[in-house]
Amino acid sequence: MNAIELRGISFGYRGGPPILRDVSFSVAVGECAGLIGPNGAGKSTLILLMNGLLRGQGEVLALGQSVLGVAPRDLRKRVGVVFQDPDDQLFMPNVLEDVALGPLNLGSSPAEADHLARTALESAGILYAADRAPHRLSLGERKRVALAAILAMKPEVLVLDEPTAGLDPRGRHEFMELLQSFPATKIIASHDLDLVARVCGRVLVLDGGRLVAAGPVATILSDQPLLAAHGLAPPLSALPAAPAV
Amino acid sequence: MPGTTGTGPAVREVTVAASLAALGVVVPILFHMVGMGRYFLPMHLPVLAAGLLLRPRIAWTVGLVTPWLSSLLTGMPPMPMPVLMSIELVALVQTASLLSAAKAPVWVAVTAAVALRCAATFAVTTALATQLGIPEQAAGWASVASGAPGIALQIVSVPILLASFRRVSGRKPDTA
Amino acid sequence: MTAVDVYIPGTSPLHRWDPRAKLMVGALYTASVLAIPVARSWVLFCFGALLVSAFGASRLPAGRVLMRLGPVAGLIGLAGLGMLFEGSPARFVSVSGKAALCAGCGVLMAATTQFGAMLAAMRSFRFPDILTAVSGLAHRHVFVALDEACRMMVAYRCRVPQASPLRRLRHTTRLALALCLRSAMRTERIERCLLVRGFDGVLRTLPLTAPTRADVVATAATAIVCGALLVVGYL
Repeated sequence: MNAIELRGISFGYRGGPPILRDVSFSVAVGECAGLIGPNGAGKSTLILLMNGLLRGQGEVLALGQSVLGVAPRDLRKRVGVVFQDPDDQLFMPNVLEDVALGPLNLGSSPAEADHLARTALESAGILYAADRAPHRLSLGERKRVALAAILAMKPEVLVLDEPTAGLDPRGRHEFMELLQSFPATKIIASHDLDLVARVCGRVLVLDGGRLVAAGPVATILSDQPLLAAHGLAPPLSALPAAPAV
Repeated sequence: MPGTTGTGPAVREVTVAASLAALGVVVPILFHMVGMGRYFLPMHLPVLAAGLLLRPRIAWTVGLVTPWLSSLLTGMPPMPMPVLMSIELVALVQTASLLSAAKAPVWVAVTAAVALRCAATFAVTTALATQLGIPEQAAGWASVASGAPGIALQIVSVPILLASFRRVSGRKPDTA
Repeated sequence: MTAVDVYIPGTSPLHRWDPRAKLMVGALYTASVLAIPVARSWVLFCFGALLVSAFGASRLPAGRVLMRLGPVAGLIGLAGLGMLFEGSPARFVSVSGKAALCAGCGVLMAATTQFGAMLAAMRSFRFPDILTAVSGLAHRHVFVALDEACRMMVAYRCRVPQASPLRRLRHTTRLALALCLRSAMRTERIERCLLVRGFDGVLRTLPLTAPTRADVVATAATAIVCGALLVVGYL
């Protein structure tokens, strides 16, 4: 079964140019797919469509059901989205309360929500900050809390928008390891092709609102003319090592 | 925001209200950094904008929450002044919101809200002056007059602020 | 640039005191202080002693607390101005004392209670959902907006080290409008993030633990002292 399936999706804002044009693809259950493309390719808009936050032409199916036909609460349990800026998604005065907010909203009892929040914080490696205020955390820590906040809702599909943006090399490396450790279906929209190369099995290339290429990571990320034609550069890990001086 | 589906008006309005209440704390800090917070009533700018953007059943919360939150986080205004300020700001935001809901032009809503806020300021200051032992009438008029530059700033900048908020949040999807 | 977030972490009895009790006692204390007649201002010294002992129990750093009390000077100044008109020394003592005690109570509450606990207390007192939701979200948003404001101000000062007051006012107004515009854009993103987390207009919080016997005793004792002082004030 497909975790996410898009059929002929088009989208645009009134009076503006089309952002997505006839995009179709599917991601199987348990798969990790990378969504890459230059700025303005439509990656973030696509993510919003997958969670039913935007409505376009065509059909989006989450675990076999149209996202528009599923009650919002059920849809949030199916598809969890972690956005790029953690400051947009941390709302509560302390970390534990923040992570527990999702489960509480989905109907968990307070004890259950507390347990889910602590478990998610632990799996994101940030349980030590449970009692801290979000504004007292570093960017990397805030990103982990934002991830934990979605993990606590136990989504079947995890969609991440630029998860490593703004992180230093060590933080980036740790975040990649963290993502690799989650078995759920993952869709990662990113400019960080090293992340995609390391975590994803398949890559979808989006440019100008169209899906221009799709295939295994090794094939797509080694196709330098394709990457160059769409404003992308091969991952550093794919470049030949510099000669020793 | 209209591009977002499944958004109850409550969620959108709560978010806007919270954002404006936060700006009601931060904008005064910005003005105080350049030593101009005292006469330009900077806290009133986002609160007045909230009156023009939100329905009356939500708008009042911005007037009530802003002075308390500011007092809690920055120490300004000191207790018990938030009690008095929330009376003024609720008068300001609720008048603007009610007139806006009645489809009054922006300048009418702003002018009427500012006028009613001045009346509230006068009443609150005279009550406080009685306690402080200073001449009530003089204190009332002085407090209203000292806010005159702020009133001018509100009349000029709030319509711009309103237009910005509407422009940013007014994108509609082509296919919804 | 500006110190916000007055909570000072700690493990003192005041930090551990149930936030509902603190909210209730704080309101009672403030109302009692404000209700003391001018002629009985000496009672305010008893309220002051109560507040000082609470500060002692909180183990808060005195310097930071005194700095927080700075803004009260404006009110005391106004009370001093009152003496030039129809005021009297007794009225000056009453107004200054009340201002300092109310502000002190507010500072003590804020310094020993996490905002999340205060929200939970508000919810358990059945404050309207809309009020707790706006308060909670606004509290978090203050830090984000302040961070942006500080960065904008630093950039402004780098480009305009000196300016006339009028120019400064014009620039500050523009900065404030730009900040509002950025907040408007962020509002749209926050709304989406809230929806993803199943938010429906109610900011649900984890419940507070049941008050301990010590909480109940401390609350009752403080309420009795405040009530007794109020009665003494009116005798």
